[in-house]
Amino acid sequence: MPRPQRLSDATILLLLIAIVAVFSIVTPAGTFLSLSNAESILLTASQLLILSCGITFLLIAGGLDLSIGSITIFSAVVVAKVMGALAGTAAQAADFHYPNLGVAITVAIVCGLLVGAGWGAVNGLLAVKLRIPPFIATLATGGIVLGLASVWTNGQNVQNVPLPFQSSFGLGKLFEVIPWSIVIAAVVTAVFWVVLSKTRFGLHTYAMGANLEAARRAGVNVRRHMVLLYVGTGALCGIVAVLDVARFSTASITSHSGDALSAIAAVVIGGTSLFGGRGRISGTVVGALIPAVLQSGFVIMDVQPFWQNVAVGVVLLVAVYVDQVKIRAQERT
Amino acid sequence: MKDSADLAVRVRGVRKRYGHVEALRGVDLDIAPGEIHALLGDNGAGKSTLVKVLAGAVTPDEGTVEINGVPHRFTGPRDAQAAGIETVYQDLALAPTLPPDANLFLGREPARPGLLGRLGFVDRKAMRAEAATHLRQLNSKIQDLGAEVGSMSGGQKQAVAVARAAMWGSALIMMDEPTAALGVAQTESVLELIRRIRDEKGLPVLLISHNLPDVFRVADRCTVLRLGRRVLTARMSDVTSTDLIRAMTGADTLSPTGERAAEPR
Amino acid sequence: MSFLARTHPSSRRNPMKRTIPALAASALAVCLLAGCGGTSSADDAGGGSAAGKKIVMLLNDQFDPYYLTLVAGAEAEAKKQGFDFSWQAPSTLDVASQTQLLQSVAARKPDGIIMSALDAKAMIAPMKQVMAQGIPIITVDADVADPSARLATVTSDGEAAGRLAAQTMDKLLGGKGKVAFEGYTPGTSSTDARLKGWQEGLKQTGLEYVAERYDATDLTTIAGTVSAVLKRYPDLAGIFTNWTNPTLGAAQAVQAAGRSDKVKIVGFDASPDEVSLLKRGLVAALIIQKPGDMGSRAVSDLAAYLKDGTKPQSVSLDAVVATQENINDPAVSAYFYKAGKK
Repeated sequence: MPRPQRLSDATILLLLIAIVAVFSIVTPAGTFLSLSNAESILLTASQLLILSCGITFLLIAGGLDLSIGSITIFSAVVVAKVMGALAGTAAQAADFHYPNLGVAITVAIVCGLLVGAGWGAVNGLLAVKLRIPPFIATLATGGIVLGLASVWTNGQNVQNVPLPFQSSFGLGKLFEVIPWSIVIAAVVTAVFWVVLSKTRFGLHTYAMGANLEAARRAGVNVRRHMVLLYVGTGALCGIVAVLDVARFSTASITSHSGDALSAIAAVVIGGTSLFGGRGRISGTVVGALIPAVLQSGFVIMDVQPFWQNVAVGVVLLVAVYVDQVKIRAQERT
Repeated sequence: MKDSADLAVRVRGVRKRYGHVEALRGVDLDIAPGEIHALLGDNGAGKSTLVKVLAGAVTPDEGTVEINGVPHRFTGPRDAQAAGIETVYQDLALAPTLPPDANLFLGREPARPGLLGRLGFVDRKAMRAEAATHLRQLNSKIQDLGAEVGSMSGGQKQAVAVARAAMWGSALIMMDEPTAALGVAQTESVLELIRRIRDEKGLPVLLISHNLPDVFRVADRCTVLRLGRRVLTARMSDVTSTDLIRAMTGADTLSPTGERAAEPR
Repeated sequence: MSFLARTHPSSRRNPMKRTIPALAASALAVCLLAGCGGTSSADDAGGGSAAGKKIVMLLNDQFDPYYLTLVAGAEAEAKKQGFDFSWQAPSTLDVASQTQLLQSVAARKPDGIIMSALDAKAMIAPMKQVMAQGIPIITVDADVADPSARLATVTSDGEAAGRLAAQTMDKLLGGKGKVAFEGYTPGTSSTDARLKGWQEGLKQTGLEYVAERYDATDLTTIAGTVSAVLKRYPDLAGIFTNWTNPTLGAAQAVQAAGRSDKVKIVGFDASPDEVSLLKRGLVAALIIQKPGDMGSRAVSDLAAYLKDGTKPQSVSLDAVVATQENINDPAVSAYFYKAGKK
C-alpha cells in the first residue's frame, strides 16, 4: 500500500523480464519460451506462491513462520490418510476401486485445512500469548510437527491415495487448459492481494509491523490480529498439502523441507521488508516465480544445476541490501 | 471561582500511589475552553502521571475528572478517546512505513459504502481527501501525501501526529514535549500548529514542556506541579520564568501577584 | 541425558534432511531403551549356543524403508537364532555422534555389533577399540577401509546396481535413444555409487546421455527439473533415478507432460509407491537392492562366529530388476520394501 514500494517492485519485475529474455534467447526455439513451459514453471511455482502469500503478511506484521514446510507435510499426511481410509477398504483400493470417493475427498480436504490452521493457531498462541520469539517458536513447532508426522507414518510415504484424485484433480485442468494447482494459487494470491491492499485488515497488518505499540494504542487488537495471521498461514499450508497429495498421489515426509526458507527468500526478493511494515503481494508473485524460472532456464540451457542456487542467493542478497538501504535512508532523517 | 461547567477540564483531588511512592497527592487542574495550558514541573513532579490519568492509561486511586462539566472515570485509553481526549506522546506513535493519511486514520479507517465496507474494505479515496483537507487546515507543510511518514523530517512527523490528535480530539489535546527533539525552524512550525489547533478548531491544548521560552511564546496559562501537588496556576502574562523556576524547585509557592496556588484565577 | 538426543533419525544413504524434535526423539529413545536395556549384563563366559546372546545393530536411519527392511531381515534371523536383538540410529550424521553411540553400546557389553559405518576411514579407530574389548563387529551396507577393524562385511554393490540400471535401460529402449538422469545431490556415497555405475554402464551401450540433473528431496522441485528436461529434449526416451523421491517426481512430471508412453523411467528402490507406479506402467523398471538379505546374512554370520568361531566371508549382494513382467514373481516381489512396521 505505501507508495515508495513501486520502485523496487518495478526493479524486481524488470529483473524477472530480463531473466526470461536471456533464457529465451540462449535456449533452442520452442523450448524455454513456450506456453507449455510457462505452464510447467507456474505449476512448479504455485505451491511456493501460496505459502509465500502467508509469509508476506507475517513478515509485514513483524511475525515469522519457519514451520510452514512441516505443517504442509503434516497436513498432507492427514489428507492422504483420511482420503485413503474413507475411500474404501484396502482390498478395494488394491483394485483401484473407491466406493466413497466423493465423501473421502471432501472430508480429507476439510481435515487438511483445519489441521493446517490448527497448527497455525498453536504458532500464534506461542508467539502471542507466551511471547516466545516467533523465530524460536516456529522453529520448535516445525520440529515437533515434522517429528509427529514422522512418528505417525514411520517416515513412510502414505499409500492408498485414491488414484482418481490424482488423475482428475492433480493432473486435471480447468477448461482443459490451466492446471488446478495454478488456478488455486491464482485465486489465493488474488484474495490475499485484495485483503492486504484494500482492507482495514491489510492496513493494520502494515501498521503492526511498522510500530506495534502505535497500532495497539490506535485500538488495533494486535494480539488477535497476529494469531489470525498465523492461522491463515497454517490454512495455506493445508491448501498446499491438498495440491501436493493431488499431484503426487502420496504424502512424502521428505518433501517441503526447504519451504520455509524458500518462501522467506521469495517474499524478501519481492520487496517485503524483513523488518516489518513494508511489502506487497505483487512483489511476492515475482519473487516466487524467479526460482522456478531460473530452474527451468538453467535445466534447459544445460547449465550445472548448482548455478540456480547461486543465482537465487545473489538475487536475495541484492533484495535485502536494497531493503536495508531504504531503512537506513529513513533512519537518517 | 468559575463554574465547573464552563471549564473544558476540571481535575480535583486526584491521588495515585505506586507502591510506596505517591506520584499524585491530590492534584487539581483547570483547563478553560480554547486555551493553551502549559503543564510544568521538575522530573518526578507528577506531570506524566497526571497526563496518563487524563489519557486513561492510569486509573487514579482518588479524585474526580470532569470533561466539559461531565464526570468521567476512565478505565482505559479508549474511554479517554471516547470522551474526546487525544494525546500526542513523545514517541509520536506513528507507523513510519505508512503515508500520512493512513496514520491519521489508523484504527479508525473509513469503510467503503455498502457490502464492501462491511467486508472491511477501506475507502482510501475518502481517507486521502479528508487527510489533505485536514492537514491544509492546520497549514502543515506536508507536500507528498503518498510518502512514508518515516521518510519525513522530525517537524513533519510531529505535524502528522498533532494533526491526528486534532482530527479526533473534541475536548482536549495533550502534547508531551512536542518540541524536545526539534530544531529552531521546526519548533517554530510546531508552535504555530499548536496555535492553529486553538484558533481553527477551538480546542484546548495541554502542553507538557521543559522549554520555558516555548511555553511563554505559545501558552495562555500554566500550572506548575511539585511533588504530586499543584503549586501554581497563572496567566503567562502574570509570571516570569524566574517565578516558574521558583515554583518548580519549591523556593516559593506564591505567585508574584499574590495569587494562591490552590485557587485558579 | 545425551543418549536420548542421539536417537534422531537421519540418513547417510538416503538423502533426507530431517529435524526430529526432542519430543518424538525422546519417545523413540524410551522405546529403544526399553527394547535393549531390559536384559541383564552380559556374562563374559561366552561360548556354546547363540541363545540369549545380545546383539545390537547401529544404523543411520529409523524411518527409511530401505533400513527398515534391513532391520526386518536381521530381526527375523535373530529370532530364529534366539538372539536378544535391538537397534539404534544416531541423531546427526557425523562421525562424532556415531562414535559416541558405538562406545555407549559397547559399554553395555553386547555379544556382537552389526553396524553401518558412517565414514570409511574415521570409524576405523573406534571400531578397532571395540573389537579389542572382544566384541565382534560386522559391517552392513557401508564398510570401513581397514578389514581388520571388523570381522566381516555384508554390503550391497551400488555401482553394480547402477550398471544394472544402464543395462536395463538399454534393453528397454532397444539400444538407442536419448536418456537423462535425475537424482540426489552428489556427496552421499550410496547414491553417488549408483550414479557412477550408471555412467560406466552407459558406455557399454548405444544410448545417448543428454542430461544429468540433481535435486534434494522436494518432490515439487524434482518434478520441475524433470519437466524442464522433457521440454529441452522432446525426443527423450528414458530417465534413470537413483532413489525413491526422484522416481516419484519424474513419474509425475512425465505424466503431466503426457509422455508416459514415450519416456521409460528406470527407478531405484522398491517402496510401496514405486511398486504401485510399476504396476500401473508409469515406471518401466525398478532396481532393487536387497537390504533384508543383508540384515539376515549379517546376523547368521555373527551367529556362526559366536557358536564356534567360524570367521565369516565378506560378501557384496547384487541387485534385482523388477519389471511389469516379473512383478508377481515371488523371487522378485520378496525384495519389495516393507511398509514401515516396527
